[in-house]
Amino acid sequence: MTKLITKIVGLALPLCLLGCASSKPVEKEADSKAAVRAAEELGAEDVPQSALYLELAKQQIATAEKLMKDGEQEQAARFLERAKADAELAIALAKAEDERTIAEDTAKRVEQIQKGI
Amino acid sequence: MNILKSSITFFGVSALVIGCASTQPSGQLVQARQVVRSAEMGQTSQNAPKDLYEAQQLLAKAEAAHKDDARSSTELHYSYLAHRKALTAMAHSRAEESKGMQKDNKEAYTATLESKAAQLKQQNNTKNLELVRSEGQLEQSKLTADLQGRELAAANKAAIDKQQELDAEKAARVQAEEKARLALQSLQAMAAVKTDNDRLLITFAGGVLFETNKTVLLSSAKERMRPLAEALRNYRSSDPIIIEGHTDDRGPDMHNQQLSQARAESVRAFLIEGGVPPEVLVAVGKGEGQPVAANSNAEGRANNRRVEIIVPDRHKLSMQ
Repeated sequence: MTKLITKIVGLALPLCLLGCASSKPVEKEADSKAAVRAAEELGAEDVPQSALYLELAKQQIATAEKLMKDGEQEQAARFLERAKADAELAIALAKAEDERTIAEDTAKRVEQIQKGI
Repeated sequence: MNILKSSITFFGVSALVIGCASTQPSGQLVQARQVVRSAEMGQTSQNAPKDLYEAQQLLAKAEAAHKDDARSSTELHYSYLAHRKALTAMAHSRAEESKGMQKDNKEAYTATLESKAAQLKQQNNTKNLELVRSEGQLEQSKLTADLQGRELAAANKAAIDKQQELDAEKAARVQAEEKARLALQSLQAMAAVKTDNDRLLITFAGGVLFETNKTVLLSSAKERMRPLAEALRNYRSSDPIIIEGHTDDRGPDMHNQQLSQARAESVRAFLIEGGVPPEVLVAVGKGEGQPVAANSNAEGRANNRRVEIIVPDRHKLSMQ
């Protein structure tokens, strides 16, 4: 916990010193990571289409972290924005797949009940 | 997995490539335009208008960046974001469509279930109706059985009534027999009663019935003979009851003959008066010709003075 706090403070401090209020890479990093976690919870890794975008999001977050270490804050912020967009697409695709499967299941059930009894 | 890796590399490399001095739009921008356009053409504007709007805004930023500085990192960045946002919008739209289908399917499912249930209910109703009908038939046959039972009971009752009637008849007959028996018994107090097969022979001593040389019945004799009259009242036969008068040997034969005849007639008259049908009564005067004892002494002569009543069938006495 103390490590996380020092990390956040360590990252936030140089940002504040630099004074770039418009793009805060730390916030963007949190946003994109949250989106990645949400995609993973929805099982995006098991859906081929969304697995691609999920992987992209992860790679771009990793790249952004390197850039941040090198002090390339503006570049890092863009990578994080794109990572977030990829993760959100992964979520949307996973959800769409879920709903499609359910729709198919319900259609099958209707067919079964119409045939049966 | 190879496709995945190469795709990642493609996207990654293109993202990192920073535009040259060309005015041609980047591949990223071209792709973004195509995807946003296809999103605009489909159902997305209805199902995910907010996402589509954001994609359009991002594309606009990319176009502006392209105008400003072709193939700049900003153009590539916003093209990338527009592309992803448009794809996201389409995915959201597809999800909404699927949800709509789910709803339709659920409704169809419910409707089918309901119709099946209604069908089952109908079948059940038909079965119930059949059940009610067969119950009705059962009721009918019960009624028939009841009716038959009642007829049987009536027949039984008739049989019982008949039996009771017979019993009553029998009781009456027994009563009548008893009455006759009692009558004979009372007769025995004043007369000798003898049976000879079916015949009944009743002998009255002359002194009990008449005064000497008289033909009028003594009132005490009438009293005693009344039960006999009652017993004979219902006597019906072609073989008549014979009333014989007898005397002792004193006095002239002719006189005795007339006296015995008159006394027999007197008894007959009394019996007719008591209800006995005249046609079953025959009075005969026998005179002194048939003595039952010696006329040499008083006791013998007393025995010879008598009236005999001969009933041919004693069983008919009991009939009322």
